[in-house]
This record gives sequence, C-alpha cells and structure tokens, in this order.
Amino acid sequence: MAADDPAQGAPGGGLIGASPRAILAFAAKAIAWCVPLFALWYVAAQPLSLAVSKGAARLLDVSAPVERTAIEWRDGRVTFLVAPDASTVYARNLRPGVSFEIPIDARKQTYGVPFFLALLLAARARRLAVKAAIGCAVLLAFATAGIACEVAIAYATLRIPGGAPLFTPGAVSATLVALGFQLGSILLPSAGPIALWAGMEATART
Amino acid sequence: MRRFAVTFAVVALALFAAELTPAGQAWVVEPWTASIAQVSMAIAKLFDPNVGASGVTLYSTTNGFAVTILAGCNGLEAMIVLFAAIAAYPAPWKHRAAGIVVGTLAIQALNLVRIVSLFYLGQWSPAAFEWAHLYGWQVLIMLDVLIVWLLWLRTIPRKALPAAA
Repeated sequence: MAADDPAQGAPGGGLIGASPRAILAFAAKAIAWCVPLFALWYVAAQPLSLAVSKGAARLLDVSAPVERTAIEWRDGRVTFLVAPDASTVYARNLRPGVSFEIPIDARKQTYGVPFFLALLLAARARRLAVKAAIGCAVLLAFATAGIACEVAIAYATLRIPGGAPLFTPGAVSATLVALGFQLGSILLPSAGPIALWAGMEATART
Repeated sequence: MRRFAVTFAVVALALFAAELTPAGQAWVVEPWTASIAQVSMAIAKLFDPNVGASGVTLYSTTNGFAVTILAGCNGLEAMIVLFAAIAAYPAPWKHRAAGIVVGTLAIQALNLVRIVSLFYLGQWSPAAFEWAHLYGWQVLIMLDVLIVWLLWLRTIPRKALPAAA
C-alpha cells in the first residue's frame, strides 16, 4: 500500500497510501490553488448565490407553509421575501399579502466549490472536467438544501407584531431543520469537498 | 468503497446528531468549548497580558474587542469528520484509537492557532476577520483532517488492508 519511493505518490498515482512528503506537497498545492479559485468564486458570488437561492426558494415553496418565496440581491446578500400561506395568514391574523424579509449570506454555503476544485487540481485528477462537474453539482445541491434550512429556521422563529411566534414547530420538525441547518451551513461546505474528493480518489483506485 | 461511504455517512450523522442533543451540548460541547476558550486565553496571555476570557468569550482589555467561540468554532465538527473517516476504514482497533488521539491533538492544535489568530485579525481588520473566519480557516481545518487521515492510512499494517484498496 505504501509507496516505495518516499518522494512519490502511491503506486496507483493517488494519495491514499502516498508518502508523507507527497501528502504535504498535495496540501501545499491545494492551498495555492485555493487563492485564485476563491478569488474567482468571490467574483462570481452574486450569480452563484442567486442560482442556489432560487433552488432553495423552490424547495421552501414545496416543503414549508409559504404561499410563495421570492429572492432579491441586496448589499451583497440574498434577501428572501417569504409570504406565509393563507392558513398562517388567517390563523395569525396577518395582513393579506404580507411577506417577511430574511437576508442570507449564501457564500457561507457555496465556498466548498472552489475548495473542491482546488483539491482536484492539486491532485491532478484524471477526468478532471467530469469530476469537477459532478462534484460542483453535488456541492451546489448541498448548498441549496443548506440555504433552505437556514431560511426555514429564520422563518420558523419569526415573531409577529405583539411578540407571539409565527409558528410553533413540532419537536421532530424543529430538530430536522436544525440538523439540516448545521449540516448545510457548518459541516457540508467544508467537509463535503473533502468527502467527495476522497470518494472519487478511492473509486479511481479500485 | 460503498461500505466506506455508507459507514462514514452513518457515523458522521450519528455523532453530529448526538452533538446537537441537549445532553451532548451540556456534557460535551459546552465544557469543551469553555476549555478551548480558557486554553486560547492562556496561549494569548503568553505574549499579550491584555487578554481575558469570560465563559466562551475571549476579549481584549485594551480595546474591548471580543470573540465568542460557538458551535463550528470549537473543532468538534472536524473531529467528527475524522472519527467517521477512521471508523469507516478497515483497520485494527488499536490503530483507530491511536489515529483518533493523534488526530484530535492535530485538529485542536490548529484550532487554537485559528482562534488566537482570529482574535488578533479581528482587531486589525473586520473584513479580513470575516474572510478568515467564514472561509479561510474552515478550509485549512478540513485540510488538516484530510492530511491526518491520509497519514494515518499509512500506519495501518498491510495485512489489515482490504485487497482492493
């Protein structure tokens, strides 16, 4: 399993079983690739954030008690305009047509994309374009779900005039949304690229 | 490969869910996070006497700048990812235990550097703090996890490895 030449990677060319020197060189290359890729990602933040937020809005439309969810780009952030469904408006005695503004920094959920590409480029992966396309699609799907959970938490904890909560979610649904938020905002953007890259690396060697 | 992926996902999700429970928060997350704040303060005090800590908040006694260590800042998520990756890979239990101990030390050492650096970065530039906090250090901590895991794989005896891996 271990490479015979300590300066080289593993026999199959991958990093699983590679020498410590090869592993550290890979890490240094990944950090170096992160610099230009994060710059490009930052430049593309607006269209990327709007694209995943649009998906998150559709996800909320079909899974949460909302009439419709619209999105706008304001001051470097995505603002979700969430209109409660008719039963919520009636039950809470809200003004018809009311909508709540929920600003989200969608970059928190999408920075895994440049990180993943940096890992692929640092490892000089074979079939780079295919792996990049699949990985980015998966990471953007994670980002969409993470943003939807973040907006859902903000929406579920809104208070109407008078201080009463807009919703009183059940324990199970509250836990699931909280878990989705934690996974989508904290774990998946950083661990997702590593897991995807390692999965592709291991698959290429078997 | 499929077995590794499934085991990794199951262990990671189970540990992450356990971390979110009230018991997990009260017995593990809160005391761990408070310890991290205390150790961070002790490290910062080595070269800066104007640092204090209150609970999970680290503050400067000269300019009032403060950072609060929250979930996602205590290194526990990175440790969960490493534990799941080590648990999912076929290896003797002795090697798994050693990997978890050494990996925990490696992750927490870098996390302390992260917290102390963010504390001073925030006093210098809020924009740089935000970048480093939200993106830069997140990437470096996970890269640390990956390096530890790849290095740990080399310590597994050849006879314990699956033929196809």
